[in-house]
Amino acid sequence: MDKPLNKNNMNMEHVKTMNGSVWGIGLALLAAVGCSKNDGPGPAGGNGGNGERYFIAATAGSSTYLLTADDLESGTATIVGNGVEIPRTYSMWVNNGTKASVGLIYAQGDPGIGISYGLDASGNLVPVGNEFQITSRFTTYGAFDKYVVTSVSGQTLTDGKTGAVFNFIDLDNHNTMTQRDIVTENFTGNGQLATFSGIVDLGNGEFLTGLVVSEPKDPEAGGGGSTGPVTHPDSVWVAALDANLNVKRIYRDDRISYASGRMRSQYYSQIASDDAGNVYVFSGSFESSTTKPAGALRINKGAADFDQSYYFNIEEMSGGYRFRKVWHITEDYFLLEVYNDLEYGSTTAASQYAVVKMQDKTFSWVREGFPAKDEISATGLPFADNGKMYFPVTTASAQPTVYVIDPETATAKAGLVIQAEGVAALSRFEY
Amino acid sequence: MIVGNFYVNRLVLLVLISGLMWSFVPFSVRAQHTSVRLHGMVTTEEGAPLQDASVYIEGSSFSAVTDAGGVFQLQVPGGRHRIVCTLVGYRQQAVSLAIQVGGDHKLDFVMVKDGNYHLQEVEVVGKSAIAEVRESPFNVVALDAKSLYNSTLDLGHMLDRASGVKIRETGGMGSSMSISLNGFTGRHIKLFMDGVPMDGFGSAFQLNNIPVNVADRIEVYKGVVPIEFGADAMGGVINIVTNQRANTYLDASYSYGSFNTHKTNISVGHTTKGGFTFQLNAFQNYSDNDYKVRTSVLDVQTGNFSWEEYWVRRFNDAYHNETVMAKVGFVNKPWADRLLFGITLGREKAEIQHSNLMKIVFGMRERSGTTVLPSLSYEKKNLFIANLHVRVTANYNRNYNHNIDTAARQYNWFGEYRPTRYLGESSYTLGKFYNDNASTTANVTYRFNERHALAFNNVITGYERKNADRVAATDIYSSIDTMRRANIKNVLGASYRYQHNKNWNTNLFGKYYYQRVTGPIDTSQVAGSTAYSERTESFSTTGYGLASTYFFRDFQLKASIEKAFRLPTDNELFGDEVLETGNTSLRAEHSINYNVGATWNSTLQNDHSVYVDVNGYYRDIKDYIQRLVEQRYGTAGYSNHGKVRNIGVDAELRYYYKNRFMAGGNVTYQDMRNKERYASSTGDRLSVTYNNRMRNVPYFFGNADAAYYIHDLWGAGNVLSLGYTFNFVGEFFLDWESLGNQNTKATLPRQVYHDFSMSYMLKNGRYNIAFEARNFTDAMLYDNFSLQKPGRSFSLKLRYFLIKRNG
Repeated sequence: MDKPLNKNNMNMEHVKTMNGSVWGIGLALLAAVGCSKNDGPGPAGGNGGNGERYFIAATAGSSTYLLTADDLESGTATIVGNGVEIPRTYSMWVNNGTKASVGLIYAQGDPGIGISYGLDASGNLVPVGNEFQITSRFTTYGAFDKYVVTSVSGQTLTDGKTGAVFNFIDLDNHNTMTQRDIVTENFTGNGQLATFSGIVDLGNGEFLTGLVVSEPKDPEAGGGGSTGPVTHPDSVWVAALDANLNVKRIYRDDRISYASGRMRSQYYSQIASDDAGNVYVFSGSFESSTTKPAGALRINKGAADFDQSYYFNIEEMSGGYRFRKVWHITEDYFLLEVYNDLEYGSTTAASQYAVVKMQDKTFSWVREGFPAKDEISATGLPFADNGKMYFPVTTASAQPTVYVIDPETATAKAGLVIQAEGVAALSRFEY
Repeated sequence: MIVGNFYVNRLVLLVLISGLMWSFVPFSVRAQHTSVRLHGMVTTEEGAPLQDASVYIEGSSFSAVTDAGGVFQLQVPGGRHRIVCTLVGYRQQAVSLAIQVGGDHKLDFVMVKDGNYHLQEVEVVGKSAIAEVRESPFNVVALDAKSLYNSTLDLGHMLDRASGVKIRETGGMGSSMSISLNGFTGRHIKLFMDGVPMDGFGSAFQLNNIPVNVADRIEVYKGVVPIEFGADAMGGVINIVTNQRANTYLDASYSYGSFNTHKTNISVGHTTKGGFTFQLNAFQNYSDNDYKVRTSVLDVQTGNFSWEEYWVRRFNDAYHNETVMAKVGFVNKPWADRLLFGITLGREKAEIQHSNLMKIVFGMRERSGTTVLPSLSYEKKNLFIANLHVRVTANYNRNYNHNIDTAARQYNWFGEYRPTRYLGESSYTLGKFYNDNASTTANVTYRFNERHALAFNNVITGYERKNADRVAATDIYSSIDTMRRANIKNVLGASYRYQHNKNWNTNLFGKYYYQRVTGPIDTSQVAGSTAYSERTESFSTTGYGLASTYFFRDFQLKASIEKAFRLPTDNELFGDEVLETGNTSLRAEHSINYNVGATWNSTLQNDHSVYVDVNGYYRDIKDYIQRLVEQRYGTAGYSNHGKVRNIGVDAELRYYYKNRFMAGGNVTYQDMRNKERYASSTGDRLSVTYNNRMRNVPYFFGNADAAYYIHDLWGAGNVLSLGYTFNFVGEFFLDWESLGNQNTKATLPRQVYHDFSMSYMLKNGRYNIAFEARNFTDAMLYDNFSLQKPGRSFSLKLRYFLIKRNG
């Protein structure tokens, strides 16, 4: 049974000729422990242009169930008897294009196994690329160039310095993973430590990431996170890095606080680009010592500085509510996840949502057709497509439902209902 | 009953009243390995049959006890023997006999009353316990350890042979072992050693590293638990009864086996005429655990897993532990039937080969631990007045654990590695922490007369955990562990026993549970910062039950019921204050446990004997404590949400033919299902898993064994025994059965494996040589998803055993 390790055991020609039923068997073999040998899948290869399907990562128990659907705006789907069972809980899925979605596992202690799924030529779900091991934890992630990137800051490097470790997962190369690190001590030149939050692809071989600039963390402080006391709570920094983690530029401004939404150890991205390539840098003003209201600044496409003429005081528009997460919908529309209470801490609930249009500086609560904030027991990752936001929401009284949010009217309507415990993510794949 | 300053005093020895040790002896103490059947009857001078008289061959371990008809059977080797008969209150009788090989020998004893009998009392305490087990109305299985002394089994693997019980291991020797009892696992089952809770004994002294030779027997109480075990054990308890022979003995063994496995065990004990006694038990286990497993392999350069699977050898999984148990004290004194001071010292070291998925491999992680466990036990019957029995035990345990993960490397299964720039293969730690535990048990029984008896039992257990080295815990998630966590639990039980007549007895009992927990709470009002302070909560509830049994000819019928509880843990009440918030309004999990059972035990035409035991059970579990994540509340927390129903049957059948052949087996089938209709604890969203079989629980399993004995092979008194065991666990799903495409389900495949053993005993068991082949068909075995257990293994064991009975 022993065979030498063929490090390039992906047989792309072979993969292309396999049909769905063979895959079904192959998956069954993969799922069964101690299964016999099995030629693995490679990337789906060229785009046959046959069609497209929506991808649903549903969850139940300690497993993930992958489904496809032709429509997210109506109908029902179920994981009872359906779906590819993956015996791990993937709460984070990163889309980079329409070929595949990458499932990242956030294991607190042990390393996790990442996967990516796409469609074969018949439109059936198949693994795309290899499974990979995420050895370092990660607290922020995103898509960049041909990669899915994860990052964790506040790591003790072998030379004793504090740094951040990045994983670059190469989707064009079977998910080959490259690990790079960068020292984050004195990152902004003021003796402070930086923690990275968010990955925004600039399209020119660089990405932007928000910086949480703080004193070094007291190892006994607890509570998660890699950040110590923030002594510059009224400033925002954003760094431009390339794929080798060379620091290209650092942007700074004093009109808003740092651009990161925080919960426990997680740093949620609060930077995102619009369809025109302008990057909006938000700040939910998480830090309680900041005097700056929650708001946003802009870095115009290709600019080396913040646009000094642009400032959006979102907190004023929201009636004092601050926000935790930001997602781009379409054009310059963004969806905000807003704290439920005016006063909040690290674990305060955030289950109300608003649409902002950045150029016009408008703020609209998403309330019509959407569950009330105290009904929402879980949300998945929203998925922007067709100029709309598709947002999986679970309430105490209804099965997980994809709500379709129209950014122009800031109204929602219930779409596809999925019989499951929860829905983690959505995507659309072409095949 | 609660001692407020428990942790100031550390060890509080409550000299409360206590009582008769509730001990049960196996139904199946059979299979003597000798060549001639000696049988007969023990009667009074008036000719009335005497039950529970002990008949044995002097200087050997061969013994038997008379049944209700005064009848005993004993397998003895040919040759000249001195055969002794003893019974409380009667003078010892002894006969010297020359026994010819072949045929039956009949021998009757007529016992004469002894006015001065109390000196022999303790000698026969264990014997009269047999009567107790026969009359026990509880659903209890007792496994005899003595018949396994020539095997290399640890207590865990011995327990695996009990009906209704399945142990689940994550690997080879020293790997973590969990027990499934009638579908219950983890916190729902409590382990005891001689009636003392094992919770805090530490990983250096656990079922998977204690050899069977330490034990006399293991008792498994299913669902309905006598008050003597003061615990919130909703699923049942397992009690290991250690060897407490008041004789002079030496038992020494060494074994060597596959994967460079060495095991040594030495037991020695002596009791003087004056009642001074000491017992010493020392054992050692070592294994490289370098068995082969089949898995996909990480390419350390690309961080990708192969789709191919390879047979690879484990390379960072060596384990060893060393333990000494010593007891010293007095027996048979006017002021104590037994007063023993003991100390157990244990240590272990284990390399950690992989995470909870076998694919993820470590090359340098390891852990170590030590246990220090002083103990005290006192026992006196007829204290001050007749029929008032007391028993008190106390023990304290400090165990120390050390986890090491400092390598800046990423390994794969070929042993290759890539240097990384950060410390730790998983998460950097040099974490050290102490667990302190203490428990005291006081038990008193008073028998008013033949019919009525009362018993009280109180158990206090407490633990405290804190970090030994705060700075070493650099994993940001464990910082909260620098806070103290403590728990004191008190379980008070009372029972009334009514013996209507010789054939019918009933036990009615109640239990009062009290618990006080201390843990950290995050009091920070400032976003992004934490500030912990300590808080304390207390909790109490009451449970009750009834157990009854009726004897009819060769049958025994049993029925029992208990409303049983499992109290919330400090983590459930307080959360970890990092990822989970606490819920101090949690209720105890509870279950109504019903058992009915029937046993038929009969000897047919003298040569054939049959034992059949069938037990059915029903469990109705409510208020399951589950971890739920609710975004509108901001974070995860625990909630009483869940109902489970379990219906099952355990059956055991055994057959014996003379002293030459025995065969038997047991099978367990259970139907354990999620009966919670709603997915949410606050709304009416229906659960997609309602009525699904509970996930990741083995539900159909069993084993069968057969043994054949060749007597007087190459010499009188020598026995060659050949044994075979068949083991079976049905396939089950890792997650909910109805979900997902059935072709893609993660399953734990059906396990079938076979063990063979052969032992040769010389000189009536003084010298023993045993050979074992476990899993000899080299099946791939998994108790836990993806975690492969060892394949075929062989071992050879040499054992020397000498016993000299006192009196």
